[in-house]
Amino acid sequence: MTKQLLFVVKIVLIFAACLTGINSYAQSRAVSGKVIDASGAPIAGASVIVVGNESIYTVTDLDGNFALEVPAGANLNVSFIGYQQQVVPIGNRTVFEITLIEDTEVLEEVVVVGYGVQRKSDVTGSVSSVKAEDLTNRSTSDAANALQGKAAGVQILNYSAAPGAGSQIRVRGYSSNSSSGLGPLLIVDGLQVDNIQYLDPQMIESMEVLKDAASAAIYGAQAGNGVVLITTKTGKKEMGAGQVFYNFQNVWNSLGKAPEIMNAAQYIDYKIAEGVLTQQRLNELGYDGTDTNWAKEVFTTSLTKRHTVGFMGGNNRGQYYTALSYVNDDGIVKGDKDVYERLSAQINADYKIKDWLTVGTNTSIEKWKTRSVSQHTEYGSFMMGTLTQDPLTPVYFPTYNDLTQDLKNHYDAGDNILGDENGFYAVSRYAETDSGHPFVQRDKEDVENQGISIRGTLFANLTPIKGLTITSRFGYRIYQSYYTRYAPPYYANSMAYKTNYDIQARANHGYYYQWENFANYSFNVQKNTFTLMGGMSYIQNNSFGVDGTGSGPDPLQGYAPNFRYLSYLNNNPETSKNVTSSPGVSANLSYFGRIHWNYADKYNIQVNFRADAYDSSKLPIDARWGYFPSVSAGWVLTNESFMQGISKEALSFLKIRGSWGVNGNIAVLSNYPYATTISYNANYYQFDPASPNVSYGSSPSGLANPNLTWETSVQWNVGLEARFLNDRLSLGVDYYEKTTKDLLVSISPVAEVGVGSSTINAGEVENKGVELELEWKDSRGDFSYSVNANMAYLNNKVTFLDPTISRITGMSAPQGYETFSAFEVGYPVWYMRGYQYEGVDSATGKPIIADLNGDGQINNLDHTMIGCGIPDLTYGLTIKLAWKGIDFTLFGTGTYGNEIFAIHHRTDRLFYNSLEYFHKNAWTESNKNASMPSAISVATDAQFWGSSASIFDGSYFKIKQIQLGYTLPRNWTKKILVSNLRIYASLDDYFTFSKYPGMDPETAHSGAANSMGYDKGSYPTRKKAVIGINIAF
Amino acid sequence: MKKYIIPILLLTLGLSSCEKLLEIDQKGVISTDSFYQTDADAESALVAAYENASYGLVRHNDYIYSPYNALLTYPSDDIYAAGAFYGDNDFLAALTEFRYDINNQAISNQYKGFYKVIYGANLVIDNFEYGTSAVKDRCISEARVLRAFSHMMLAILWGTPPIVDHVLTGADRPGNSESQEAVLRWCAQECIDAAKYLDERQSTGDKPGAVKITKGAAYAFAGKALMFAKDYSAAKTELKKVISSGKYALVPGNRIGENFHVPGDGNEEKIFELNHVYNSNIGTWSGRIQRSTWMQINLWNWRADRLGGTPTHLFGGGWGMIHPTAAFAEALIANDGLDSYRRKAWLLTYDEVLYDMPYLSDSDNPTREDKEKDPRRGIVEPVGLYGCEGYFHLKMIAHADDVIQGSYSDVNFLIMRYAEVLLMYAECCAQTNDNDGLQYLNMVQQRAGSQTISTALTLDAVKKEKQFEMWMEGCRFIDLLRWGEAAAKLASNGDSIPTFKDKFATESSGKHEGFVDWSASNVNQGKEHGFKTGKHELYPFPFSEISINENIVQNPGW
Repeated sequence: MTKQLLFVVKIVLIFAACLTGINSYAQSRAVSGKVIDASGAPIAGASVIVVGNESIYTVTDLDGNFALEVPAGANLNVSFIGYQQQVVPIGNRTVFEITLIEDTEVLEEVVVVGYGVQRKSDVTGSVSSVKAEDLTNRSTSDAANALQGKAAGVQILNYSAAPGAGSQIRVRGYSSNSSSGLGPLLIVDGLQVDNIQYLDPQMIESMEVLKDAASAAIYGAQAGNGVVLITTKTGKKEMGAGQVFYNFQNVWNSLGKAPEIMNAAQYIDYKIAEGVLTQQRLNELGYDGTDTNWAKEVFTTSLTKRHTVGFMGGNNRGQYYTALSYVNDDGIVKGDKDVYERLSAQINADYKIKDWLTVGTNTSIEKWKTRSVSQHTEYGSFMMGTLTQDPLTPVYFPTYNDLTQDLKNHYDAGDNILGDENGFYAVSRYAETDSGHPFVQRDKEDVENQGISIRGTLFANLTPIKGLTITSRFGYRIYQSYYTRYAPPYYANSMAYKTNYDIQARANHGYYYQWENFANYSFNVQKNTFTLMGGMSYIQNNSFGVDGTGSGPDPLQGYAPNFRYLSYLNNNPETSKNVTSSPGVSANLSYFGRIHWNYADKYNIQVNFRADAYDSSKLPIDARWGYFPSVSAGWVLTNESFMQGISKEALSFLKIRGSWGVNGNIAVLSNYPYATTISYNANYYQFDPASPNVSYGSSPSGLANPNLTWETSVQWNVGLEARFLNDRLSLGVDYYEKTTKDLLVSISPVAEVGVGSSTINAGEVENKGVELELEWKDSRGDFSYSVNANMAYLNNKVTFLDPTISRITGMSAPQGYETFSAFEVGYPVWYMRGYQYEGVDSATGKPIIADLNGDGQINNLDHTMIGCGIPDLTYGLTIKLAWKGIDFTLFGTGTYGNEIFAIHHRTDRLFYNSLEYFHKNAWTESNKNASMPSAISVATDAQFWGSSASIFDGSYFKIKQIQLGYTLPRNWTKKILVSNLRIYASLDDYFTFSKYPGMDPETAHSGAANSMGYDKGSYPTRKKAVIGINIAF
Repeated sequence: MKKYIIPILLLTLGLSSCEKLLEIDQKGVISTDSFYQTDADAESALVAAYENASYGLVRHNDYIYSPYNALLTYPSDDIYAAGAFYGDNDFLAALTEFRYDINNQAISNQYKGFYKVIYGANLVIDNFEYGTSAVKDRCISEARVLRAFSHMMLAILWGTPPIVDHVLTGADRPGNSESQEAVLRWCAQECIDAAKYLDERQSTGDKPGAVKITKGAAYAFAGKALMFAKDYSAAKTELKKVISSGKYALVPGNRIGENFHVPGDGNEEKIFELNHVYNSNIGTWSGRIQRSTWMQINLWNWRADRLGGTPTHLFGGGWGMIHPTAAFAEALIANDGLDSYRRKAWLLTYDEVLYDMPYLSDSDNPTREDKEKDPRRGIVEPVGLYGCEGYFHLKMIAHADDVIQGSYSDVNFLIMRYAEVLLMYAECCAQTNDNDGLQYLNMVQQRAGSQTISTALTLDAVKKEKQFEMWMEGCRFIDLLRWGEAAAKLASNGDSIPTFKDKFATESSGKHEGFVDWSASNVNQGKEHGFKTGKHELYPFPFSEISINENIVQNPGW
């Protein structure tokens, strides 16, 4: 075994030597020796060079030994990465023992790359790095959310800002048409995780986003959408005995941007103009002048509390960090139906047991619970109910006598009419809506989701020889979650009601593990530094779950709260019970390697390779392997002699770099999509009307496609990094082009095939863009400040679809809108397709819809692109000022060039409320120059509502944080044994600048990947007033 | 060197092959090669075909009402598509008022639905061959009739739909068929050819024989296809086979309404209906609600939020999406007499709604006078009932007993009943001057308890009888098209719509008294409406289809 390893190392050395072209050769005098470190351990791969004649050199072997022929009187230069180089005069000696001293001076920032770290100046790919200082004292409890606006080319999507709703990350655009294959691979301390919502931002040391293919390629088939590497905090060597810290935050939440919905007078005016309401009907219905502002009625001010207590310390042999964090986030919906509670602990420790062995662990324990209100659907949801409930209806009907006749009838019949201590929820007598009333949607059922997860790694780093680190890392996730739902019958109106009970419980648990073994080996040969890495990983994920439901008109033994569980179902004939469960397994096996070569800190070249194999639930056995190569290079011009004439004062650093690589996207494949199988006994028909027995049948599980494969991205990237004015100004620019092919397209075959959908590899998407990061920092005396700006421009388009598909249709707008999202060659993914609205015919008030094909008719052949939910530009700006103990942060982020499709009006249900915009701008006899048509001409006009008239500019700029902090002078606080005490106040998400008349432009999405920017009612971002304290002992 | 051993062992272990760990069997499936072999497999594939038929005909996937009923029932001169107000569920009113476009959900869903049935049938037909066993022969034949029925309805509604006689691949793009007549004749021939392998319904009491494809169903469909192909004498031959089989009978007049409720499932009058599932161990969303008409019961039931109460034997809530026109109601009453079984089972006058139905408030033993001022019955909201002209639909209104878990209907999905066979036969006789049809026309009239019993077989008499007997059963619109009367009868659909109100609510008169208010929203808004010759004879191929299948030529006028 040892011989094999030696052999490998020798091969590497020979390879290294070949690269430099020259080997050592005989001279007048033979010397030999051993290079060791301070502890006496040998250093292999150290270079031993004759000073003044660099062609005479050697490298030490595995035991640190070297032998060399040298000219008389020469000096030897001995060097190794991470150690101070030493010049040793030879004199008359022939045998040497040279001790290299570790170089403790931190010369340069390092960044975490896959399976290793690199000096920032050596990085040849495009990596964005966010450090702890940008992540602490934020009011978000979600690590992904904390990334927003901090890294160019990384877009954070908040489809919902409800308590406990995680943000989604998009790196360099949208490479897939699927919903499961858009997010980056997430790695925390080497562990692959399914989300990073569990991770409190204040526990993070750094987040690195590997954006280009070459950086991400080491993760192969999973890296097609970039990789986010997170390193959690650890103690510091110099901390000694340690430190205790406590952070507290109190947040007052309230509704940020209010929706601009018609008030009662506008509503009446508009509905009368639409021809659906008359003064007579208002009288008939007994309208009493009510004017309800629903957003004001359903939202309130709520409180979020956060406590974090932790301990950290370290010495030469080990470090630890442990922290406990508790968040209780009560959302702004009145009542306690939108709540997120999380208790999390992070335990990080490592210890150098032997000089050649360090072991450690990173462990995260999370316990969470959420409750939420419904959103993202027009078919009855809290949010859509809030936006579209008519203003003529009060919030409550205080007594029975105030109820509508319909509610009285149902009340009398014993139905459950919902209400609270203020009375019954007032169900509109003007408009029968899917939602009935926002509070009906809130209270019609009790749903709770909770769980416990433990995520962690155990690792051993072996350093048998200097420069070689062999890591064996075992990562695991153990998770458990429990979902319960109790939904009793209720009645609000003939669309919002329920006549039977539903009781559901779902328990999921599982374990995931990964075992990775890899080795990093660095050594120098003259001015060449080589870093080699190779390894393998095996991942297995096992999930188990049981889902049970019971329903019926009278399914429970009792209905008091302590009976509302499946255990108390009765056996009434109409009580139906359903259980599903089957375990799931997935696995993959990978081999990977990397070679990095640096010459004299000027040239860097890196080559990555990865081979991935996936289990048979994703790919057929003969097609399971995929291979992902990449290559990248960087050139630090400022280290060239011809640049030495330029003053550091002007240009302190300049590097250009380029990369090319291939990544895959495996997330789109699951559940044997390629297989031709028969779903056995999954169909049924009852052949006897008199007997409940059914006959079972079997049929194909779908249209099979044995040729399915993963999506593959090819990306090249060029970048420039520069620092000017003695590093005060720094600049990073990247340009990339990323082409993703073999997109899995779930096509609806033509109707005549008779099968709903089939999956083929038939699409190609191109993302290209420019990313810019700019920083200015300076200080004058006690005053220091920095301005950090980042910006990313993205051009996304579909470049190929199978010729048999002209266009894939995504989400349709609600009933009666002639529009849908589309995926089509030449357009951005899932763009908004509909009619082009050209304005009003000022004589008649009718809308003018563009007859784009000129055939004299307006029909769907005139559909065109009318908007796109993907912004052209995303940007962030952070300004920090500090003076003595006072610090100030201003942080904002925004988008430009995206559109929002406002879906409030319903052509099939005209009594829904809508945006006041359409009333304010409507054509009337007295306002013939209006921008919107007369109400009556478009009330049921699906073409108009499905046109660009419903599209709004979705650009926004949001000031995410204005924070003022004060750190009490240390000489005061040390009297009470406090080493650091900072208090702060902050306004987070407080100001939003936008033209969108709906609610929050940031969250105005349907929640589905194929309909970005479709506003069907989303939980809006809350504005937050924050106070907090940081104490350390 | 000892210290190298651990890492090397680790590496060696790690690098050893884990590939066999990647082989994970799929659960719940068997390989395709092992299926489609035995008689049991043929029966099993056929069950799947019936399931597809349920999904495709009763309610196609994402459509919560029955699009089959919508396409065949809403465009009619006998009903108003009503609802809450003008604009409520407009995609249905658009069908009645001929304002629909090629995105109409009912149109696109049912088009897909028919081909879903065809796919399920083709899986049986493609995978088995005739002549290896009687079971396989029968299974193939039942599938062929299901396939033919779907093609027949496609041809009637779309004219020249592609004939799909084998399982297609995802890349296929079939084009239009040659002609409507060719498709109809193909369907008839398929049914006739398959019939010889099919079971005969055992007797009029054979309920299972009414919920699967039998000889009777095959001949009845063949007859309908031939009649729509205007080959009346050939149609007569096939229909007569059904009649002379003796396996079908009209239920007695006093049970006429039962045909549309659970007690009538599989009764003697049913030629073919898709059986609903009664097994409460199967979860609501595990295929039960998916093969029910689901929301249609809400859609069709009276608009409860405008009423003081709904009759206790009916399913309570509803959106009142259908009301009979007064012209139809009055013609029916004039034809049948007020007291015919049929009239009473089909529709009610407002007085009957108020005074002859059971209500919760009956517990007080009210007198007629009490009822006249009872706020717990009749229209009590001043806005009244949109689309109502004073007559109330009863025929298809779900009874409380028809409904499972208060939300969806347990009633079987009726495809054809014996009365239609008799009337088709009578018509074909009338078309060919064959007096044999008169006895069957009379049979239908007599059973209805009608005061009109024809003494001569005239086409007019048959047409009238069919309009009354088959009201709301998906015959009227396609009959009007076939008879060339659609333009005359449907051109003014949507001109003006009645709202039925009650002075009890509008004037607080203290006494129920209905009256009609008229509105003309389409006219006021300048909306194109009403049947247009050269356009509405056929439904358009849906946009979702023509946008991806360039081989489909759109129907005229679209």
